[in-house]
Amino acid sequence: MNSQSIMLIGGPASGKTNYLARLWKALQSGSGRLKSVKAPEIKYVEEALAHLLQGSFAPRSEKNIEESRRDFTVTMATQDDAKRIAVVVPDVTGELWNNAVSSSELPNEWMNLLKESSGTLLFIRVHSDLNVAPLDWVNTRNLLKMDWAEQHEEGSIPTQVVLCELLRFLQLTLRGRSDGGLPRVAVLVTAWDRLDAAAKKSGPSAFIGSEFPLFAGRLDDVSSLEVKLFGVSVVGGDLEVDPDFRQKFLNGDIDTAGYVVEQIDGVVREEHDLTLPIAWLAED
Amino acid sequence: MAVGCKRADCTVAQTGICLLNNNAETCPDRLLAGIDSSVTEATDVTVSPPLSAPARNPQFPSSLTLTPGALREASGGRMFRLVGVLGPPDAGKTAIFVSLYLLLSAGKLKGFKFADSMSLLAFDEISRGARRWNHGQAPEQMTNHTEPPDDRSAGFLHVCLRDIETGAPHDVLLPDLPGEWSTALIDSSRVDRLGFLKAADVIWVAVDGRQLIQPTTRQQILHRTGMLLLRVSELLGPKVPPVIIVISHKDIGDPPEASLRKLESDAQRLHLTVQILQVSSFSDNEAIDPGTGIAELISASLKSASATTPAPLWPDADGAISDRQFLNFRAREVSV
Repeated sequence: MNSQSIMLIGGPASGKTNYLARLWKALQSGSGRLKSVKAPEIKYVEEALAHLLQGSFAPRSEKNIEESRRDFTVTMATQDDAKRIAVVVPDVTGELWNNAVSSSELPNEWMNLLKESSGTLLFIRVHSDLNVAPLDWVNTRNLLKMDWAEQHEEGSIPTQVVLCELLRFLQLTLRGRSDGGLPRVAVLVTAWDRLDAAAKKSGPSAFIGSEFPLFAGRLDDVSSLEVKLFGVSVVGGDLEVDPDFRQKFLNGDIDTAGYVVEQIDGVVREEHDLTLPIAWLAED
Repeated sequence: MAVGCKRADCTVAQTGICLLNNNAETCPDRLLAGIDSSVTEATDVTVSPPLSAPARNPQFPSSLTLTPGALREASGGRMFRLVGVLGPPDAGKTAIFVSLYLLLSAGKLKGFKFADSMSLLAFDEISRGARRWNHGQAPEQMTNHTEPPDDRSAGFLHVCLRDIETGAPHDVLLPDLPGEWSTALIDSSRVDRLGFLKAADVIWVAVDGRQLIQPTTRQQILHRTGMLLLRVSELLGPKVPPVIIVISHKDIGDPPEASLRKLESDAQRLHLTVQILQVSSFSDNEAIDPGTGIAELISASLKSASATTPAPLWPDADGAISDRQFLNFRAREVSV
């Protein structure tokens, strides 16, 4: 049996927890490309899934979830058992990755695991409050003019710079796939349902290009990784701001809710298998 | 053999002089190392550190400014187009870098898009004013940091731009240097830190457009710019690459035509190929967009350089001089 390890990375509030919760349910339903094989410690995903099943997203401030387990591992397999994939989430809070970018350091255990991985899921969330926009001209000039002896706040690294740096780290560390192919990176744009119809129609690549031009440029330029973009909506709508959708969701079946968007030869297509990005990382 | 003392306050071990003025060889309190182990243990002043050094996490190569050594390691045979950037303090050099970064961040650099940068965090930190020249003290040399420095260090900024029309990538190196180095070049002919200019494909001479407009400062800035051009000419001899005089603060207004002609005539007298461009890295004028002129400056810099003949980075052979590529600047001697 062919087995491989992939890592799930992304900054705070990038949609990792809700995706994992929905993925966990998809693995149990057995209708997707992948099924669950082994997950010794599932409290974290079970608690996150409980939120979804009750009609709310797992909140980032849910200390119980974050503290129940700061890392999470699940082993899954293709339905024909030909491949086994260990998905590792080093830090569900995402702070690990922000720190890695600002310090250029990564704890030894995660660095080693990254080096053993041949694929990664990289998360970006549409309209996340924690996405840091690039500085604008006015603010930048004020910062440059400022007397640096005064009290000041240095601000945060823009999200697209963090993404570029994470991609650089992946270039430096991921190993080639067992078939000799390049390491793969699946970029997951979460909360896809929050985009307007025109943006959805244009697909994930256009979204990245308009929101994160630096990162889009890096993705076009990178030659040592195979990268594919996906849009992900874990339940197919916004449980927080759309009461009609929430009611419909509560009356329905979560196994039929949610979708993944991929772009093939420029055509945007949608499908309901939430395991698709991981299956793509594992396929030959 | 080392001599010690049973008395805790005696420094005979360090000074060779007994505290009681006894003969150090015969003093009854003397200790010979290794003879009286029980006492030796008691007086052993070797103190092991209370805490062991914290284990360091593995590191990725930083993406702050690049030293020549770091650049050589990271280059992997890439070809770079080196821009020599000179100009006194406040001429607007940093503002040009920041403006370029902001244009790329917004996807608004006309004709180009971002492809890569080995110093992306440096661009970002400079744009946020997060690193200054050591709290006002300009660095003396290009530092050879192996770890991220606390302060902004002199070094190279790298950016790879992709030409949207042709798809061609352009690796550009911009030296991030304090203006004081240009001042020292003018006033003291100090060239030891500027040897890399000999491999520059193009040189930007930044001029503060505000001073060029003001009658009280206009002649002085023209004179100082002329002196800077002279020093560049002296430093690089007959092989001076094209020079672009970059006049900042276009949003404030255009300098008098006579000033531009004066700059051109100074350059011609020195046999320099010169082009004058105006930029507005930021803008207080609604009619002038921030970033005006930056794309044109980049385009002109890429066009002005010579053919892109592949060559190894910093070849060791003395004679391996390619056609003005930064790749081979190590082969050249810096004349002082």
